[in-house]
Order: sequence, then C-alpha cells, then structure tokens
Amino acid sequence: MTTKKITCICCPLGCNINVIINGDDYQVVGEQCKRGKEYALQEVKDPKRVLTTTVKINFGIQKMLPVKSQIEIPKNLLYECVKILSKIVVEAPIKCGDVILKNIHNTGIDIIATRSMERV
Amino acid sequence: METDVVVIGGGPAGLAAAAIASQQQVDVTIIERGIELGGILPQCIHNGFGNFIFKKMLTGPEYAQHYIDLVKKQKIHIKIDTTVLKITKDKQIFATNSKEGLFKIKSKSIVLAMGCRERTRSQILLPGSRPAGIYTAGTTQRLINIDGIMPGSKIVILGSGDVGLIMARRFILEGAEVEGVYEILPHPGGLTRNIVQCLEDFDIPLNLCHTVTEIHGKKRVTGVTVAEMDSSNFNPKKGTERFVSCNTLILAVGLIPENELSKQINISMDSNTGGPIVDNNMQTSEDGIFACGNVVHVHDLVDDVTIASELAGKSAAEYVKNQIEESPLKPVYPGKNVIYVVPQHIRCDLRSSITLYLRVKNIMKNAEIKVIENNDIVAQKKERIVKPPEMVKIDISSEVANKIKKAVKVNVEGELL
Repeated sequence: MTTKKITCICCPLGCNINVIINGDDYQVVGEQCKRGKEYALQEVKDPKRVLTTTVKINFGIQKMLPVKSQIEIPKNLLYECVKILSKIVVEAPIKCGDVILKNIHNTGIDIIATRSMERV
Repeated sequence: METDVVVIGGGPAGLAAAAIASQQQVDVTIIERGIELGGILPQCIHNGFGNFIFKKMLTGPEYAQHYIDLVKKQKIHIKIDTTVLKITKDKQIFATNSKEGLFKIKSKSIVLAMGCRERTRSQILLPGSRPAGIYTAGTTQRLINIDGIMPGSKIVILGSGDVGLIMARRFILEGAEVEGVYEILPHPGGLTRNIVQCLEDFDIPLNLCHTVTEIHGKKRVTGVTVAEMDSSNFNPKKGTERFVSCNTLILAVGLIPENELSKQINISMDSNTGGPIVDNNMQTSEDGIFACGNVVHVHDLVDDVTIASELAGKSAAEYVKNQIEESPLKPVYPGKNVIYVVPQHIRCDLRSSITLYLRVKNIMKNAEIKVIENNDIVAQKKERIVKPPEMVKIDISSEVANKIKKAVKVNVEGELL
C-alpha cells in the first residue's frame, strides 16, 4: 500500500489530496469536490501535460518558433519529446496551427506551431 | 501627423484597447517599442492563457496571435520599433524610430499601455560581487524562447513569482539543473497551478522563508549563500547560512508598472499599485488620457488585462466623440487586509455595472469581501479562499454604485491561515 500526495489545481482552494493505492484499488482522501477526486485519480493513474517548447526556424523574424502538443501527452514522455523537437528546424513562413511534427514519439499526437511567422 | 487615439504599447493591453477603439469608428495608432506586436506574450510559450475569455487553455503566442490578427484586420496605424520619448498634457506624442527620425503626433486621446518591467537586483538590495550570470526571470525567458540561447546550466531561483516558476520548468526541459527556488515570504508568490506543474512535477525544492544573502564569483557566478529568514524581524537567522553552488542566479522578485511617461505629465499615481489612479472608465487624472493593463497594476491573468483594456479603448473612443461628460468622482479606498483596489474612483453617472479588482494582504479562508460606506455595507461577496497572488473581484451594479454618496472602502474579513 502506498499513498500519493496531490495538490489539487482545479480551483484556488488548492486542496491537499491523498490517494491511497492498494493494488488496483484507489482510495481518494481529502478532496472537497468531484472535480478534485477525478483530478487526483488522473494524476495518480495517468498524469498528462500539454508540452510547450520551441524549435529552430530559418528565415523568420525570430530564431525560435514556439510549438505545443495539440493535446496533452503522458507526463513521463515530456523529456523525450523535447529532445526530439530540439533537433527540428523549420522554415518561415509558418501559420499558427501548422503541424510541425506528426505523431511525436508514436503517441498519435501532433506538434503544432503556436504563432505565425512571416518570411523575412 | 494627426490621429484620434494613440495607444502606447502593443502588448495585450494595447492590442485590446486599439481593436475596440477602432471598432467605434475612430482613427487609431499603436506605437510599439519592440520589433513585433504582442508585448511579453510571444515569449510566454507555456499554456494557461485565455481560460476565461476563450474557455480554453491557449499559449501566450496563441493568445497574442488572436489580438494581433484582430488589429491587423482593421484600419489601425501600427508603428513598430518606435519609442515614445515624451507626451504632453495637450496630447502630443513625441516618438522616434530609425526610419522617420524624431516625429510628433497630435492626438485627441491617449491610451497608456506600457506594461510593467521586472524588479532588478539593485531594487532588492542584494549584496555581493557583480559577476556575469545574474538575470531577471523574464530576460532568461526571452533568451531561451525567442533568441534560442541558454543563459546557464546550474540554476538558483530567488523569488517564487509565476515567471520564475515557469522558467524553473523551462530550464529543466532544456537540460539545465535547477537547485531550488528560494522565497523570502512564508507563502509562494505564484499561482498554485505553477507550483504543482513547474516545481512539484520536476521535484524542484521550494524553500519558503529563505533568501539569498550573498552572491559569489568574480567573472561568473560560482554560488550563492542562502539563509532562513527570521519572521519576527525579517532578518536572516544567524547560523542558517548555507553555500549553494550554481553558475546562474535568476531573480523572480516582482514586477513594477512602467510609468516614466505618465510621470512626465504628473498624472496622479497610486503608491500601492505603482500605476496611475483611474476611474471606472480607466481614465487617469488627465482628461482624455486613459491607462490599462499592467501599467495600472500588475495582473496575474491576461484575460483580466484584456477586459480592462477593452474598457479603456471604448472609453477613449467615446471621449473622442464627446460622449463622456464630466462627473464627480467617488474614491474607493483599500481597507482591512486589502493592499489596493482598482479602479480607485467611481463616476457618479454609471449606466452599467463595474468590477472592482483587489489584492489581499494575507491568505484567508471563508473570506467576506465587503464594500462599505461609513458603517453600511454597499456590496458583499463570499470567497472560500483568498490569496495575495490571486486577484479578487467584486461586481457592483450601477444602481448600487450610484447610491454611494461620498466614498467607499473595501474590507476583506475571514479566518487567517
């Protein structure tokens, strides 16, 4: 049996929630609402984050282009995905929302540009 | 050159003000110091923007892109890479850029939207030598996210403001080590979301009630001395000093509204916000000069900047069209557990409801926000929790606000945590 401490970020209250894990059984303690319970379970079972980073861009007004994963990716893949993206170079012009890399790390999730950049 | 509304600053505040003013059929000019519109947003590549206005989590560049596209669709004059040197009470703007040299614009109205800048080492009186490797958090954000330059590899962060927390995560993802975050106060300066997703996610220690007492190194930072704070006298506790090896010290120690231009023409300032005193139309003490965004007070959410700036833009356009009449002003004062309230003045002729924005001094549970005139409660609202880093809002209907006779103060009462 292990206990995981989660600080809830669903609202400004920031409840301290404990999830007691006993094999396949998860018991949530200390939450004050349904959203908190769902958040804590998600955080323990399969935590996910939107990845935001930059890739190199040639012929743009700036040297770096900001990008993000279109939806959340598993938290433990953040480092690997940043490493993959650090090797990518794109060329302006780019439109906000353009796909920069398809199916990163075989997650089925695309990496998209988060701004437009004209060619200069 | 002549125009109706000059907006100084092309960040989120200036963009929103300009877009709305232009929609009211007045001639609008934006003057922006940087080489692009968007202000600080293009370097804030993380997500979490726009939750209130767009009902989704956008990144900073995406949020900016929406308003840049909106401004570019309209007939708004945009002058980038242009610095305003001087403004006058009769609304002349003196500016300069490398193509036009020094030039003058005559305007009917001005919107001040210059934003804020970071507190530096000298402003927190941090002793020690002056080696390379000491940066403000926003500078490192710009270096990494815009210029693609890594400013260091072994990082200590002083202050737990949101930009510092965001940069802790960014440094880790870019392969640097972050030794820890040191916060002088007993509570973090940034949002809980950022404590969790930027520090806890990466096991970065947050040392509350700690500060940096000395910087070591000659050419480059070689380390810092950190110490625990004595909460009774706010001095470092003897015997708690500890050397921490690092090559980079990041300062995330607060933001200050940038009001050099406002002060040139003696606009009345609020010493608690560091920004101009404004009425509920966002008009300053100078007729026809409006202010919005972080130049008024430092916001924690860009959505609030946009909402206030749209109000400023709309008011500036109405002023140009002579739709704003003179009105006596009723002051709003910060009361118990409140650092400041914006707007600081309420006009007497309200036709729609207004929102008061306030920052509290202490964390409180089961808090009651009370707007009081003499001993009468004018308006009140309950919050389960209030915290200094998170702005508190209270709406007042026009009927209620118009009944205020002279002045009100805002108190926040609750259980201290």
